[in-house]
Amino acid sequence: MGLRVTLIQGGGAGLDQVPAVQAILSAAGADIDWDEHLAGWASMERGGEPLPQTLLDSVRQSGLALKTKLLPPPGPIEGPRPEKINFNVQLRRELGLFASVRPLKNLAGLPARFQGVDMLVVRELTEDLYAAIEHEIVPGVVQSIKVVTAAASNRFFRFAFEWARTMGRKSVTCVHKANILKLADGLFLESFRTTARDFPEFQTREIIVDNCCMQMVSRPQQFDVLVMGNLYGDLVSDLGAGVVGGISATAGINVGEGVHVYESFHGGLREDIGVNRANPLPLLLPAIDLLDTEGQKPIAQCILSAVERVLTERRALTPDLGGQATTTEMSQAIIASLA
Amino acid sequence: MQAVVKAAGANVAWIEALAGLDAADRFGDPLPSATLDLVRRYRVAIKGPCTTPIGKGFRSINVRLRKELDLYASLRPVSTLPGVNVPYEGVDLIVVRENTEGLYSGQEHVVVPGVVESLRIITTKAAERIVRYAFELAQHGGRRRVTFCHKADVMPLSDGLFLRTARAVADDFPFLEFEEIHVDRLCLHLALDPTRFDVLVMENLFGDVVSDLCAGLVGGLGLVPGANLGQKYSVFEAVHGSAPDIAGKGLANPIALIRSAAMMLVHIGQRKPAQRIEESVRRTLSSRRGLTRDLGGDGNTASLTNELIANLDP
Repeated sequence: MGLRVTLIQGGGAGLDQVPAVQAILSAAGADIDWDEHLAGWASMERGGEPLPQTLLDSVRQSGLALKTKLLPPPGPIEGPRPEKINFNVQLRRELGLFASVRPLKNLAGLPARFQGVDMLVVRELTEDLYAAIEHEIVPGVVQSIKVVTAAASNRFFRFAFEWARTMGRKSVTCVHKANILKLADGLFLESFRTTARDFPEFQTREIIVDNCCMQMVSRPQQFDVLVMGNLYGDLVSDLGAGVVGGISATAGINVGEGVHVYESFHGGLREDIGVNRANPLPLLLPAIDLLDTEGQKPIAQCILSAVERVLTERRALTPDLGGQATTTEMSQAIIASLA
Repeated sequence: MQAVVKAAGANVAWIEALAGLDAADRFGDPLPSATLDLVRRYRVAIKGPCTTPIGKGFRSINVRLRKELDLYASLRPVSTLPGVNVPYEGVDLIVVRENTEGLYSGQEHVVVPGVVESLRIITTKAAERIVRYAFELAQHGGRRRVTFCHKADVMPLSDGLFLRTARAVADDFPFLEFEEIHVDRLCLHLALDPTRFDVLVMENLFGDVVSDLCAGLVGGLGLVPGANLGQKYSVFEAVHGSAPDIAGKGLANPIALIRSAAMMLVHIGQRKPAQRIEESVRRTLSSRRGLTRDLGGDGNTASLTNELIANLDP
């Protein structure tokens, strides 16, 4: 009996990435029982709900999922919202995912502006402006509420420090804007300081978010583990992905009580990318992280080396990586490079 | 800074006013009303780095200046400079930040112990004027594209209002390109390839973060100018911190302040000296002579200032 993993198919690029990633994992000898479910537009297209109950049950039961980006329905926007509903954010809420970990590390062979980057961006997922508490006070005046609670902050920091400990990290930096948001970010920072006392082996540091972003594009190598609230985390993790080479490097792990969702943050429509043209790495990297944290380390390492070989030799790369290969060709090249 | 502005042939009569720690010591307020009155009377000001005393009671001087004088637009022009060792080339963009709303209104409270909320305010009025400002800036500055940055997918009401307003303003400028981007995506693309952006416009917090991020792309806050503009008043400023550790030792890098002065000269119609200053900064950075320590040299404020004056074209 292999490792049971729920596979969440969100459509678009995911339709090409999933078979590629499954083929690579299977060729590398990973022992996984996939329980595949559709979500987002991929599910709605077939008359289903965007977040079907069977999918939610499956993730809660297996505790492990690999997920492509969930796409919204195509076509013009309906209703009063100026943009389409983000099913990815809804899924996080449904599953009670409260923290996200983005490993940001250079891959050999992937061109990047900076080398020697190896950090984790850990982001709180439940609060801040993402709680979606908004209202119109009078026409033309709207307020959104940024919520910060001690309970969520304490749980988040405890998780972040424990994760950092498991990963053998040395320093943890809290990113904030407490000079302006004295109460909200002040509470968050206080929770960081209090929790840090229980983890004395770490060096701790605090940095204002604007300075953090400037440092990310000048000396990103200085950071080890960065911990922050939801909105700053959204910005800094994507910024960090840009620093180490772009969408190939945008994998992440979203964590809830007893649930780990390994996900690709970038997808897209087949109409834009082309059929069988999607870069498989945005989904393969979280799959490698999954194997790495779930007890199949040697296989994870073996796949990662194969990826780096293919990137370095610049064989069979998809168009976004500067090549002309299809998704299938790139995944076959990775399989051929497995040692 | 004053020496360089004078040497460049600008016609400016300076009136000095105090702000920051010294003012706090002497008047009990880091932004005394006498200072505010002077800015109101002369309408144009340039501000050196100020330290806001840390702790309770003092709100940031910068935030107060913006509020009191209704300086609703903050500008951060960012372009690649010669002789600065950064991994980005060909950057030439300007960040336009809404300065009066968003999360910066200081409206926060403790709901119950351990639960805090801060209000993020967006109004049609402020959204409309900042986006219009960005388009007019693009139009007059010979720029082609305006990129509006937002997060309307998670804040459909507040950023939705901002986005709809931006789209409506864009319709008045059909000859300029208009683009919308999520702010997280913007960060990713700025790190990958900042050359694709031209004029960026966004709300207060995003603008705060993105303008410093962009400064990082060209060598940091020690090199980039800034301005806070309103209907009536304009305050130009070096945005870097006041670095209390080197203050008074003659080691501070004056370039951000000098370039802010050049921006101010353009604003008051003295384009020629402004251009001479900008060119001198580029020449000086390329020659790498007389640079301060933060720029990798072993000079000080005086040596860099002399070099900047010497490099003004005849």
